[in-house]
Amino acid sequence: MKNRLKDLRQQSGLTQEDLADRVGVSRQTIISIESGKYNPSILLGYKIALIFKESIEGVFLCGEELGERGE
Amino acid sequence: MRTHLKRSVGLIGIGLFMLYIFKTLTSIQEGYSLGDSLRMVLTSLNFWLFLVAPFILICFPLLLFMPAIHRLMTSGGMNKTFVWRKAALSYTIMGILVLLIVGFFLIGPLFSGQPMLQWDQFATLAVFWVGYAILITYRYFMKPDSDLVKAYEKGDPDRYNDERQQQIVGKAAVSTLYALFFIIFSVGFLFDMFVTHIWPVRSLTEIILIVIIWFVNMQKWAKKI
Repeated sequence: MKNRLKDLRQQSGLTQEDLADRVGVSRQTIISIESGKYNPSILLGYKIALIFKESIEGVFLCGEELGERGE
Repeated sequence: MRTHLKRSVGLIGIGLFMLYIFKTLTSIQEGYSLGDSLRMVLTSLNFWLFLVAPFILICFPLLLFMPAIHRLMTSGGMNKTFVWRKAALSYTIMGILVLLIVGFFLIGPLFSGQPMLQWDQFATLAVFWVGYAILITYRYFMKPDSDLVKAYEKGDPDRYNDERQQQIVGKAAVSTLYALFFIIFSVGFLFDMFVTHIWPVRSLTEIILIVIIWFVNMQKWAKKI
């Protein structure tokens, strides 16, 4: 799943470490989410979206996944 | 602490029961009847001195020591290097103690005039020491994951053990399970059938037990989630 996390984080001037601290996960988890290797849970996605004052779909782009399944 | 003590005593009890069963089965294999074997094990000096005593002496301090290590590494505000060096030092002291105890029970029979321990008894004791040697080496030479150190320093290990980490552990556990099936089947099952030409009862029992436990756990988690 693609996401805008890296862009939003850089725009906010946050480091990966800062973001990890604020949502209560390890820095490695933030790295994995940014690179698209790991899809976070709804709760973690919601926490991240709240920090950037965005909706979940404003941060995580599920269009391709939904399209691929023909939904 | 009381719960931990109870749990430690419980684990030791289970371990001792398994040792008792093991020694009884060994006696049966040697040609004694079931009743004789059950009695003989309880009156055997070898069993109490060279199996039960080392087991209690090694396991009990180890189990009691674990919360202390955990507290040491989770206390907040401590300097990173200090914490890990202290942990390594603690493991080393415990490792030396374990080495001394294991050494005593391995070499002891030579001085008491009793026969040297059998290979399986030797291996059982040696495994304790090998485990400790690996832990100590890891603590001294492997740089710990910075996220893990930070999480422990902040007294918040949940931060490291987050949802991604739990997924990693779960996936690794399933992969290990598949590998275990393959190893037991190929090394144990087929080895017994084609090399030693005995019925692979033990391997088959292990595989069946693992499958049963797996299905029980699947049902349990399916109800929970």
